[in-house]
Amino acid sequence: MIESEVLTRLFDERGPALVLYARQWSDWPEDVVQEALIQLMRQRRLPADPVAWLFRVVRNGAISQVRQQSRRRRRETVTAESRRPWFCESPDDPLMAEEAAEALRRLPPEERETVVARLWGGLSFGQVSRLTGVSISTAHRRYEAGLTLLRKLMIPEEREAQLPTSTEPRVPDKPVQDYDSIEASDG
Amino acid sequence: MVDRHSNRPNRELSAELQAFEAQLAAILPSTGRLERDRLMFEAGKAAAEAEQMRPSASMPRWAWPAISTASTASAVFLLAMVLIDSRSPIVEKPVPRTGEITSGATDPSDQVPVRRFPDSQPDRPDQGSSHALLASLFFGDEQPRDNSRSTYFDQRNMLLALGGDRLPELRETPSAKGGRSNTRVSYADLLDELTLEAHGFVPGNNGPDRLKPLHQGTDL
Repeated sequence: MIESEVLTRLFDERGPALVLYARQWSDWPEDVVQEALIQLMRQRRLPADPVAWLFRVVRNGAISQVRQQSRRRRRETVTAESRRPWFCESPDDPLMAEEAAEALRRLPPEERETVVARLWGGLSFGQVSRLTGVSISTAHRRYEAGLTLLRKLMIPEEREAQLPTSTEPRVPDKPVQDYDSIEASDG
Repeated sequence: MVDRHSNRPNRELSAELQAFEAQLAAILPSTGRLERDRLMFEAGKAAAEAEQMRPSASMPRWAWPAISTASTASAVFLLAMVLIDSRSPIVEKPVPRTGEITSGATDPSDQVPVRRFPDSQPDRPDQGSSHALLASLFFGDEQPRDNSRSTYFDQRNMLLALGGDRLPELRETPSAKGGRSNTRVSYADLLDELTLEAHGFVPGNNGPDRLKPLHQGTDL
């Protein structure tokens, strides 16, 4: 039988990250995480890697919940869930939590899952690769790409670098006849 | 937090990404509606239910299948024993010697092997075959000779087995040999004569030739 102290420690250390991880798929991530922790307590022995075990159970439970939800209910809950904060507001920079949540929503699902599991879940690249079913190098590449995109989305300088230098529309001097003439004029 | 669980060092990331990574890690995720007290209660309840569903730790996993198998084998064995025991048993009945009825001879050659009869077969000689009648007469129950009813039936059976035409001959033989006329022959004498004749001796001969066997193929 698993001791209650183990569950308390796992809840305190990994509970918020598990909720954030389940929030990528499920509209009710708290229920998924709670069911995963209860399922852990039903086990006869503590798994060899309880953190990775919990992330896998949460992932399976969240995906299964999404499949069971109807489309109409999903639309309603998405609207309700979008108002809930993904991160705790920092007293130093209250806008940072909102920006991070917004940037995470815009990430591709594979990169977002890898960043959440690695950055907030504290999993190693080996655990992330086993969790997502890819190689370690693929997991590392997704993590780096996700961080790069998040940085571009969150830091103003990066945003400005993505924007064009002049806001005025560029009007060609003469109508474009064909591609050969464009290349010749550019050259 | 990240470096502690990493399989690879973060030196592959650029300095800008490492700084941004640390900045992001400082943002704590929200627990949402997750309640700790409610979770601990539900988890404890689930653990207790799961513990009740599990078999006892003191008893190994193979114990119940082994007990069930042994019980089934015992039931099959007992059923087989009951079925075997319900069949009719064979009862052995000792058969008396030949000479006990007639002359009391103790010749070992007269010993008759034990015959076996099923227990369900009736023990009354008047309901059996002729062999059974003879057997019951010569080798049958050891009833006392003064039992008049039994003697009467024995003699009657003997007459029925040997034929009624022998009766006048038997009656005349003692008077012819002994010179006694009008002598009444008792049932016991008649029975002795018939018994001796059935065993191959000359009826009515009281001399040394009394025990002389008759020729083979006598009319028994």
